[in-house]
Amino acid sequence: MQPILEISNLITSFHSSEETVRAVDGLDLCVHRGETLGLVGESGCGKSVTALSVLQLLRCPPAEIQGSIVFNGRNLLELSREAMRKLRGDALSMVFQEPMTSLNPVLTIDDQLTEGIRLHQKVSRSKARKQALEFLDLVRIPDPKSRIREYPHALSGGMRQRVMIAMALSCHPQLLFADEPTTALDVTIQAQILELLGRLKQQLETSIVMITHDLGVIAEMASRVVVMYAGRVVEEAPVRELFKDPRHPYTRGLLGSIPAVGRRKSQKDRKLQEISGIVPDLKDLPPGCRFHPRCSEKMPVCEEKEPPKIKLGPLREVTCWREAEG
Amino acid sequence: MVLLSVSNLKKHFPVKKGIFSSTTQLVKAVDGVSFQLRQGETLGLVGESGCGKTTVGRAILHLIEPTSGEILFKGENVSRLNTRERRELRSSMQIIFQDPFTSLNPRMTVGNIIAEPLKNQKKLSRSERKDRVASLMQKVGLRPEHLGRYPHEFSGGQRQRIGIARSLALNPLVIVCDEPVSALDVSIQAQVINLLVELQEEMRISFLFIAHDLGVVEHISDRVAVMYLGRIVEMAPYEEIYENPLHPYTRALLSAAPIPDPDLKRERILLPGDVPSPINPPSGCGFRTRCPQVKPECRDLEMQLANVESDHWVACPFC
Repeated sequence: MQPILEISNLITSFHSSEETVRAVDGLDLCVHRGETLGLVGESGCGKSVTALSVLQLLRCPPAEIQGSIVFNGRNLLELSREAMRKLRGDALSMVFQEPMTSLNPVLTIDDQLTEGIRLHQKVSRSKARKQALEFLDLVRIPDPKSRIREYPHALSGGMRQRVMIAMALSCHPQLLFADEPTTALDVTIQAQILELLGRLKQQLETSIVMITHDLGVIAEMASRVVVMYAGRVVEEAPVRELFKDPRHPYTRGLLGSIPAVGRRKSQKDRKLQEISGIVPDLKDLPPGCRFHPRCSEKMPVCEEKEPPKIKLGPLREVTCWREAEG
Repeated sequence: MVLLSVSNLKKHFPVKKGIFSSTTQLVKAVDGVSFQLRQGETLGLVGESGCGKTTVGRAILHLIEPTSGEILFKGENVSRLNTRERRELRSSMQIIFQDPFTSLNPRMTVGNIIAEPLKNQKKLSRSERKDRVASLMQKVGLRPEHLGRYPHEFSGGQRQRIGIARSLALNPLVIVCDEPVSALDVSIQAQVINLLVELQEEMRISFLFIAHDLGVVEHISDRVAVMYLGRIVEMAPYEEIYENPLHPYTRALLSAAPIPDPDLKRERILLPGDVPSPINPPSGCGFRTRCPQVKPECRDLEMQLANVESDHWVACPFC
């Protein structure tokens, strides 16, 4: 498998007059062709910032992106703004979390959908409209001919997210970032959207990076998973191995703390496993391993030195002192 | 013992239009909901956004005035109480709100937030009140020495603990929990759920637990009621709902919930379309526009809960 995206030592920091915060701190990540990579972690762990850094949708300054992001053999951080703009929405695309706020309320679906197509493909307005209609049909919007003339407010949340997906896919991207694409939606609508994404991925041969905090969505969609904590990767594994044999205490804690449907009958008592404490403040990170103040298996070394990255298999890595010892 | 008995509760919001604000349409947010809440039990109320679950919770507390229906608390009709009596009743029925960021007054210290119900309802001396606040903070896992701090100094999970301490201040019998963990990250969510379970076991409180997360509801509830378009479509003990769901909506909802197990392959029931507008709900059964097993008769059916097995109620005559 050849990687389509290779991120190494990505550091994304935000500067303010008083201080600098590193939202992503030394991230290595690789996306293979045709795979769905799940990127999980709790709020503030840097998963969205990673996506925004790749697409360079962060205002710099205050943000600063360092490291290398190699997409199809080209380092995106060395590209000019013009070259980046040509890539964005074309070969590299993104679906945003909030279908309610990420569409322009004063433009029709037609305007918003054909804008990208005409910008990247140099086709006539009528041809672009024809393509747009095909995509609306593809994402199963009923009666696309009349829907395309409407404004976002006339559509429901699920419909808007379909429009966002149609928009992101309209130029056949090779890599799609989906940032919490179903978090704002109800479960039955979420099921529709996940099914749609899975089907389109097959049809259009797109690689997907699925960003979510919902491990249920990951289990269903992803082939490989990267778990992030406080701006860093803590564990990386194929999806089955991650769920069956999680190696990082944080991953174990996350999996144990979900009250999943159907789990109660197999539990002895009513207590959910908790991860004590809260996510550390990025301005005031603990020394050593960033997870150690909340870790139930910490050792003296965890408080002093940063844990090493341990390779457990061809696609498995964990950053933990426990594995280094054993 | 039945603590709270709700029958045929309705809440219709008027849609006002035009310069004379004439009421042209009604949003039937809750349209005939009946259930009972027993002492010490947790009744989970699930459904998708807009199904009316929050409105049910607020109407029970009379935070919004119900359009019609009867709410009996310990056999007494709540709607007939005068203002003073209703105020007294509030000490036995409390609420925990969804959003820990907006449900605490940012200008009040945590100590004052938790003490406020005590000031309104109980004649305690200053020092008694202070002791009570300290013990409440300890109970929900907050440090009593932080009582002089303001809400913004706390994390989301801690703020939700403050909301819980406030709701416990008057030793209530019933607490309406309106999506108390949906704004929290999973690791914090587990902490708050564990706290609620512990408090219930210790204080024998009844919870009306409103949530959209089916896993959370399964974990915490003794019985579960599933709502759709302003009505309860199925109500049963949690094992029954999750292992033997009867209503086609409950089945679809459960099959749509993502489960963190990559080996589990399930038959997923995909419901077509969206929830209809509660302004203009379909005639007969409200679910018929999306139901996979719809029949011509559904157009004229009245959605009525019927008892199929002991304590298992379904609003569909075909299951």
